[in-house]
Amino acid sequence: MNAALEVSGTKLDDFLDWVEILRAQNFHTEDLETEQQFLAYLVLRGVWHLLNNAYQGDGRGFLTVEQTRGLQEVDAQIAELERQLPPGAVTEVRSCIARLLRLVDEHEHSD
Amino acid sequence: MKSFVPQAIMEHLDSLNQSLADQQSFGIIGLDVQAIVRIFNKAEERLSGLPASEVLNRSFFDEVAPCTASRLFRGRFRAGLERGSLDEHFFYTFTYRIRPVSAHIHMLYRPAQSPLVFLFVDRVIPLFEDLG
Repeated sequence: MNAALEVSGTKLDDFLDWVEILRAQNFHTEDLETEQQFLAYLVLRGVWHLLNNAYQGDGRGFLTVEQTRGLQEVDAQIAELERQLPPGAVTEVRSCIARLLRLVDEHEHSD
Repeated sequence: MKSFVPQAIMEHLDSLNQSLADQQSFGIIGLDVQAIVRIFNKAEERLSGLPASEVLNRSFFDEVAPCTASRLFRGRFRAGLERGSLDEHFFYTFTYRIRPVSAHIHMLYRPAQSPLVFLFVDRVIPLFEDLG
């Protein structure tokens, strides 16, 4: 595993705490809670995939305890948002990210 | 990397159906070229906690295991289809919505033997009990 990919657990925790604080304050907005929750969900799903890709690397090793814990912490926030968002929105985000990742992969290898 | 899959199975993928797969102690997932799950054996049901009835005939990367929608996993699948063959090993740590577990994955695609792409999954270590 490339040492540069080792993300400090503290900084990841700070980021997640920051998102949690924003959510608790309804992102300082009125009547936009669902929209903001939806956007937070989209961001956190992206973060989860970004970290998972970085940590899994080329498949020559296993994740460390800290990496696993970090992914689980992000996933815990994702799961909490899923309980609050309309099921249709959750399904749409999941399939949208999967579709985009597939498109990027296919585009990158189509030349 | 040495495979955990018996030679008799690797050399006769044409006869690897649901019934034979259910007799194996390691996970076996058979995907068609659209990545739709066609075989999901009992060992994989037990190890993943997913009943076959909820998995069969669904898109593996989009619906069953969206955590694997990465280049490491789906990228290998796509590249193997493009090449017309696939015989690759890699490690993967599953963390998404399950007790973390690391696995040795063997992807095998030999279209002369079977139209399915097989994912053989050997759980290596039940990781970090304290994180469950």
